[in-house]
Order: sequence, then structure tokens, then C-alpha cells
Amino acid sequence: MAILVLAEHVDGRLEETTHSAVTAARLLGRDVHVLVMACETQGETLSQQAASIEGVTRVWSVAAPHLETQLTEDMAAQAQALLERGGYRYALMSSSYKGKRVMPYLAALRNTDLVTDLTKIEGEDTFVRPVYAGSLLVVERLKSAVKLLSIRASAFPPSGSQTPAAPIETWEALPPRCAVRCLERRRKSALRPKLSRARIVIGCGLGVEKKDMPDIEKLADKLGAAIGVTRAVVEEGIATSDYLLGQTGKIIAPELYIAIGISGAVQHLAGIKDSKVIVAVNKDPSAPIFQIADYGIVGDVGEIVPALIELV
Amino acid sequence: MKILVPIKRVIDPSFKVRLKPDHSGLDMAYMRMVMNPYDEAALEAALQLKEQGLATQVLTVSCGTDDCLETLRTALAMGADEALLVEARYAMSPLVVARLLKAVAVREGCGLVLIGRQGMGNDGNQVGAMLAALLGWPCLPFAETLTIEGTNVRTRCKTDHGSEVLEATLPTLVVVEIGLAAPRYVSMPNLMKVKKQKIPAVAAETLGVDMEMGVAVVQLRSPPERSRGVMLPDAATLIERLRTETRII
Ligand SMILES: Cc1cc2nc3c(=O)[nH]c(=O)nc-3n(C[C@H](O)[C@H](O)[C@H](O)COP(=O)(O)OP(=O)(O)OC[C@H]3O[C@@H](n4cnc5c(N)ncnc54)[C@H](O)[C@@H]3O)c2cc1C
Repeated sequence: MAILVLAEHVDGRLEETTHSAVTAARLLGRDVHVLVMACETQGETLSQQAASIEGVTRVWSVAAPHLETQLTEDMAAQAQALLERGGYRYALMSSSYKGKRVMPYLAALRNTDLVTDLTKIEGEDTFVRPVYAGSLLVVERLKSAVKLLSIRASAFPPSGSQTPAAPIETWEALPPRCAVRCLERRRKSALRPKLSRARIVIGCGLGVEKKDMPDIEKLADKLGAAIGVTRAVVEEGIATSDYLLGQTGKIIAPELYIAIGISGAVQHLAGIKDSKVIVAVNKDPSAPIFQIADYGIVGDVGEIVPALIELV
Repeated sequence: MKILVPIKRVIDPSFKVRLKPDHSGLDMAYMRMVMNPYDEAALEAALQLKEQGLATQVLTVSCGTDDCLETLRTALAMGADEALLVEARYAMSPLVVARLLKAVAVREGCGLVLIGRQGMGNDGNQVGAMLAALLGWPCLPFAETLTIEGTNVRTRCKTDHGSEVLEATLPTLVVVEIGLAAPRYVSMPNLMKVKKQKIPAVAAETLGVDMEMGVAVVQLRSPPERSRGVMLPDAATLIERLRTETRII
């Protein structure tokens, strides 16, 4: 029995979340298939990338113009068609925004429950996932014959590459569902490393004012860091929710997270708690962020940030 | 058009949850319960659509014990036209909840569902997309804006790399992001007005859906705690320690 991984990609490149999903799949069994759904111009290169991920045994390549927009209805129907063919015990994807819309939709098409955003596999049907913004963990058991899962990518290191690559087979695209029309796509500016990939991330909270932002950016540039923000900063209109870290935003696990002017609400910590090293700068010595920080400095953003820029 | 807004009753997100000493469940002593903030945003968006003349009725529905009546009453005080309790005495799986909500949406002839992206606490992010699939309606996920023109629903939806504008024709389901609409303040007089209002209830078992759950909770655990580190006097010491102890910079 095989495991099906739904590939994620952007701009003709597989996303690292797919490599993490393959890692999780390899913990469940040895026969790991990847389903690549893409437009015709990208299908081939993406399938080759998927075939070269270590541990992948087969790639299903589905290419059609309408798959360019990666709509929920099309992706779920396509995956369902492949699962119906039989031979699968699991289907999984990362719990990215895409995974959060496609996997539950697919589960309902199949009339099964699923486990989302799992961080640990404890047995063939038993999975652990964080709840209450990471304050607790719940262990859940799935009953269905074909188990659907979404995995938290930061909890599974991405698989490496392999040669020779796995065989690629093409699979026919279903006709478009046409339920939803995609009118426009906006990408946030790519000046800095992506939040999900950066080794170092600087988090800005309400203690960082608009006037401090140039300094924060200077520090980020010197460190090669990405910048994220809290919900409060988004609400102030200083940054868009593209940069939000936490329960409602991105969940990251960089090597170093520097929290500047952040109080440390559980909803924020949910997104950064698994960072290897956490540094906190806050003028309030009783700020909860200090309870989880490896290194803390009590001080003002306006003094500490310029000092850091000088030092690195 | 009638809008359906499913409402979940959750632990106030500002409270810190703990396990009972014997780990058998959550320690509910001193916990305050509130309307799920994501559903609150969905309800606010629905009320605004009605005020713009784009909807005629806003129906809120909650699945759970009769404790949910309090939450539904808050929804009425915010301005919802109707509330319905789908009564069940135990926690249901997301798919069972989606089946129940489908039954309500169909029975009540709703044309639009606005649903919070996740229930605060369980954080599953499941019911919205499941309900869309069960209804066979378009799913507009993670909506940060929402406009309706004629029968077209248009949303700006969050994606992994930014956002996209999606459009669908009614009937449609919109999965709501927290920022879609800032919920209005519930005034004391409004709360008093609905205090005695009778909220109809139907037993979940009577809605004719499969109540079989495909997932079971085996155990709740506390995660390993991050231990408190050290406080440093200044930026120079920090950089020094990061260089020598972590070698990240
Ligand atoms: C449903 C829901 C979902 C949520 N999801 C998220 C989420 O995904 N992500 C998220 O981040 N939040 C989320 N929140 C909000 C969260 O509860 C907090 O309100 C938020 O994280 C606080 O942001 P903050 O730390 O920037 O602001 P504050 O809590 O106001 O903290 C600001 C900190 O800056 C310090 N400070 C002020 N001035 C200075 C200075 N000059 N120098 C140094 N320090 C200074 C203060 O001492 C304070 O500790 C959510 C809330 C709800 C209800």
C-alpha cells in the first residue's frame, strides 16, 4: 500500500513543504508517490523535481491549463480520482494555506475525518498535533481505511535528493470545475528571504514604531534575516498580514528568532515557539516573552536596535 | 437571501488553558467562554451585508450543549435575526459538524455561508472547506475582504505567498479570516433585549445525518516547556553570546 503526497509549488519550483511532506510519508511507509498538479508549461519540470526527492518511488503528473490557479475544487477532485483508483493508505500535504483548504475539502469528498497540522506520528493511525495555540498537544486516532493528514512542515526536516529519479507517469486531468474564478494574484515583495525559509527572523511587535522600521530593516539586511510581525502591528496598519507570525499567520522554526517589542501572547508564541534560539528585547521586564526566551534584554527598541546594527 | 453563520463557543483566548492534574481533560475551573473570534468576524461581515441591503436574514447556528445558548444570545444581541441550537451532548468531529451544518443550510434555504476559518482552541481549520464540499458550493478560503455584486461574491483571499482575488456565483461559502470585519460592541441594552428571547433547538440526531465520527481523541498532553533563559545587560553581550554559544551569527 502506498502513500500519496500532494505536491505544492510556486513559480515553477516545488516548495520545500513538499519535501517535508515526503519525510513524513517515509515515516509511514516505503512506497511514496507524489501527485503533481500544474499547468502544461510547468508540469514536466515540476514532476522531475518531485521524482528527485529522496524516497519518492513514483510521480503522478497531471497537467492542464486550468490547474495553473490551483483552485481547491480542482485539486481535491483530482486527488480523489487518484485515491479512488486504490492502493493508497494515506494521502497527505503540508498544512500551508493551500493544505488547509484542499485537505479538508478532499476529506469531505471522501466522507472521512482527517488530522490537520500534525507534528508527530506516533503509530500507523495515531498522530499528535498542537491545540490551544500550542499550549497543549492532542493525540488523535484516525479510523478510515485511507487516512488523510496535513503535516506541519516545520516539524519534519525536508527530504534530500536522489539519483536515479523515480519514474514519472502522466495521469489524465479532469475537466475544470469552474466553481471559482481567480481574477488576480498578488505576491508580497520578495526583497528579503522568505519567512518560512529564513535562518534568522526578526519579529516586530507594537513596541516597534513606524519610525523604527528603517533600523529594523537595516539590521535584517545585515543578518540576512526575514521580518515578521504580530497581529497588533497588522492592526496598526504598519504591515500587511502577509508578514503575520502566529496562530492566524505563519508558523516558523528558524535557527534564531529575535522578538523586538513583543509582549508574548500565546497566539503569537504559537508561531515561533519551535525556533531553535529565541532572543527577546522588551522594555518591560515582566513581559511574558522573557519566560520562553533563551536570551533577554530589558531595554528600549530605540537604543538596542541601533546598537545591534553597529555590532553585527 | 439568508446568510448562515455557524458559531462556536470557545474558551476566551486570553485565558491560559491547563490540563487537570490527572490529564483526563481540560481544567475548566475559572475559564470564561466566548464566541469564537473568527466566527465573530464572520457574523459582523454578515450583519454589514444585511445593512447594505445585500441580505435579508442572518441566521446563526451553534452545535453543542445548551451552554451554547449564551453564545447564540450574544449573536442575537449583535444583530443576528435568528439563532438555532443543534443540540448534542458530546464533542463532535469536524466532519459531523459539517454534516449538521449542511442539513441546516439546506433546510433553511441559505444562499451564503460565512464561517470562521478555525475554532479557537481546537485550531482544526476544517469545517469550512468540508461544508463547502458537502454542499457542493464554491469555497472562497481565508477571505480578508468581501463584496457582493448581483450574484457574484468577490473576496481577497490569503495565500502562502500573498493573496489572490477569487470570485464565485451564489450560493457560495466564504471562510473568514480574523481581519475581515471588526466585530461591533454588544451593548448592555441589546443584551437585555434578547435575554428572554426563546432560541429554538433541534436534536442533532433528528437532522438525519450520519453521526459516526472518524477520529477519536486518545489523549491530551502538555508540550515540553521551553525553559527560561538568561537576561543580558546589553546588546554587546548578546552578540558575544550568540557568536560563542549558538554560532548562528
Ligand atoms: C483570535 C485571535 C487570533 C490571534 N492571532 C494572532 C497571531 O496569529 N499572531 C499574533 O502575533 N497575535 C495574534 N493575536 C493577538 C495576540 O493576542 C496579541 O494581542 C498580540 O500578539 C500582541 O502583539 P504585540 O506583542 O505586538 O503587542 P503588545 O501586547 O501590545 O506588546 C507590545 C510590547 O512592546 C513593549 N514595548 C513597547 N514600547 C517599547 C519600546 N520602546 N521598546 C521596547 N519594548 C517596547 C511592551 O512592553 C509590550 O510588551 C490573536 C488574537 C486573537 C483573539
